[in-house]
Amino acid sequence: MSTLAIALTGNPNTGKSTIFNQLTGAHQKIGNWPGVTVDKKVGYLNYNGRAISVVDLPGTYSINARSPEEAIVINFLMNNKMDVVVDVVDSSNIERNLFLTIQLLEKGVPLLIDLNMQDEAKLRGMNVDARRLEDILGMPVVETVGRSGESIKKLLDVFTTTIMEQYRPSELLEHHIRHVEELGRSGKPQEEIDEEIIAARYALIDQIVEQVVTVQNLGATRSEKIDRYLANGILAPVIFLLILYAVFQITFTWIGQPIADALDEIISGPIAKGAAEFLAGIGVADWLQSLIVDGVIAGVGAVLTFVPLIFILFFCLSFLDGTGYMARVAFITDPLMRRLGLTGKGVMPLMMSFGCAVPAIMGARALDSEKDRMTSILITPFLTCGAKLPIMALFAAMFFPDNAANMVFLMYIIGVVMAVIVAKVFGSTLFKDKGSTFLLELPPYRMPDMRSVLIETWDKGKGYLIKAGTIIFVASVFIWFLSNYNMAGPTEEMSESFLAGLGGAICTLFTFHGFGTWEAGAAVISGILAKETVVSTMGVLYGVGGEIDADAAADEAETFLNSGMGAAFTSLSAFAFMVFSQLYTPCVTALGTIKKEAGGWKWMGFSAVYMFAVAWLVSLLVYQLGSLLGF
Amino acid sequence: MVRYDNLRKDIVLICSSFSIRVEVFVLTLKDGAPGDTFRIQAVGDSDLKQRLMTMGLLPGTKVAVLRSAPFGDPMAIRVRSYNLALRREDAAKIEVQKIS
Repeated sequence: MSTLAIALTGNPNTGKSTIFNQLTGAHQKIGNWPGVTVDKKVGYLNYNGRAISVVDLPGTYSINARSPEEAIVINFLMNNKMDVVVDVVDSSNIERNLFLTIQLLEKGVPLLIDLNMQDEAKLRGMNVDARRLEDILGMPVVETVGRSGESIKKLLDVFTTTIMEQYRPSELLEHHIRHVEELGRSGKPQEEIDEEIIAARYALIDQIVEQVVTVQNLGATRSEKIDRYLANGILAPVIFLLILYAVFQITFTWIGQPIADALDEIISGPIAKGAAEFLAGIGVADWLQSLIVDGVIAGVGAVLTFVPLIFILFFCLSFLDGTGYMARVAFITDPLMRRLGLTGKGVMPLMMSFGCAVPAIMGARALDSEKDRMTSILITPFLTCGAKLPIMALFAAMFFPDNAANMVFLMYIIGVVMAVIVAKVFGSTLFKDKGSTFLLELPPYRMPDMRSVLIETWDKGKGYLIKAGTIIFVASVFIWFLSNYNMAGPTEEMSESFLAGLGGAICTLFTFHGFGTWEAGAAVISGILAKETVVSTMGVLYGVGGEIDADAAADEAETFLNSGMGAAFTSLSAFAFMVFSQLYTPCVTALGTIKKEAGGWKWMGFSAVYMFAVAWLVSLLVYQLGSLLGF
Repeated sequence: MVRYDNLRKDIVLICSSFSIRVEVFVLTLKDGAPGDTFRIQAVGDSDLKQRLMTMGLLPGTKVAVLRSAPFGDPMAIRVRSYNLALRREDAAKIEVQKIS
């Protein structure tokens, strides 16, 4: 028997993705729809000996092809013959959900309508009559309650037994379709026609709902009661800040950091030493030993230690997103974000950028106006990502031992302030004529499906792992080569290496910044490959030895201080270097993402150059003003 | 209602041709306070018009104002048994009649 081809469509917040994740579990392939940066998710499973493939189409409110997602849904359904197209409908929100249903039926796509969240509808005092709906539309209807195993089994039974060809649109529907076609031929301006068709669809929906839904008023719903605290008055921002604080504590103190430290100990301890001994034991050449231990293990290891932090941050954010709270965050922060030339919807991607700018830049897709999207993409890299943190932690511990935590926090603030200023500037120059919009559904609060949260966390975080395995790997080898070789071949003295030469070539740029040394120049260059390498490069250059691990660097401040690095910087020039590192050109992975998301080399080049310029200028100001003030 | 709308527009037009400025107060969703319920009279032209209509805000639709964000904007409304947040400047494009 051939593979049964299923496509899932539906509005956002209907539990569609949960159904997809429950159906296919880990057997998913995530790719890209051609030409656009929207995830294409396909999953596979077997049921009763039948192979089934499931495509999860993007959640949309309509298919007017106004957004890339809407275009994908309609193009996919028009060009691919599916055995079953499932329309996942949130029963508690059936009126608006049916809009997409009707629109799809108008296009002649037969639908299996899944009345999902039946339990939630009952809690709200709504009763949706599935059999009646089946009669009215002439399409098969199945009832589910979200993620229960029973519902999934029921869906699979229906998928494998329903023959869509047996269903014909009802007379009522046929009548509506003829009406819409007439409106289309009326010769009025297109806009007017579109609006009349929208009205006709809702007129039909009103008619259907009247026959299918019975409502009894049960008073305020659970979500309403929660919103009285989480989305209301002065309490809302306070709770938001507390939740934000908790997320950062979980990530950086309670769970993430201990795991990161343990991992770091294993990598820089047993693994590095074990590899060194093993390689020496089998008589590998010294240069290759050095490449593997000092280059690859140190470099890739430094990134791997950040993986737990990144994954835990994304887990927290995905979880919050699953509960529906992120929509409230957008709601309560919109007034503030708007003054900055952004939108409340942009808070979530910006929060992700404290973990890593790459998923944050990708997250900007969710913003619907071009102005919001582009501004968000361009300012995101100013924020302190997980890889910049060790630079700040090391320098703060070395040069400001009494105020280390405050200095690191100050760097976060400087990043945020720069992002805000630049957003304002771009908003009134580059994207002056473009509008910003905010129209957002506030879905009911729900307990997120853990499986979906984990899958989403993995999707977002795995980019970081790939980065460790590819770019960081190559960069480590590259930096190792640059720092161990010169034109004459291998060199013992790092100060005669290629890296020293390169660092020397650009360090004049920083003469008036207080850190015009070739070592700092080399660290800046390596930081463009990956910010993680700034600390490890400095360690290598100042000869701190094999002990460098970016993450526990703060504890090793003393080792660094005694190594000559202490003498190379004053506390003011160290501060200027921190500011520069905080703001300058994003790493190549982030640049690559900008190119993909912003659409072209132009924006990528623009980001690289303007951020370098901003960092150079601000850092110069800091150093010169600081000198004047006698620091 | 439609006839009244036209009449209103005509009066404004006639007065303005005699250089008389007439201010007509039109109740819009923007003026809603938490607890108010309205019936939509018209959705004015804007970039958002078709999106608002797609989300179910049409002439005749009932909406209830739920709350405002901490600084008064955006506002949350209940429409067709779901909750929607929109900015007041967009709500100003939606003419309404008060039910309660």
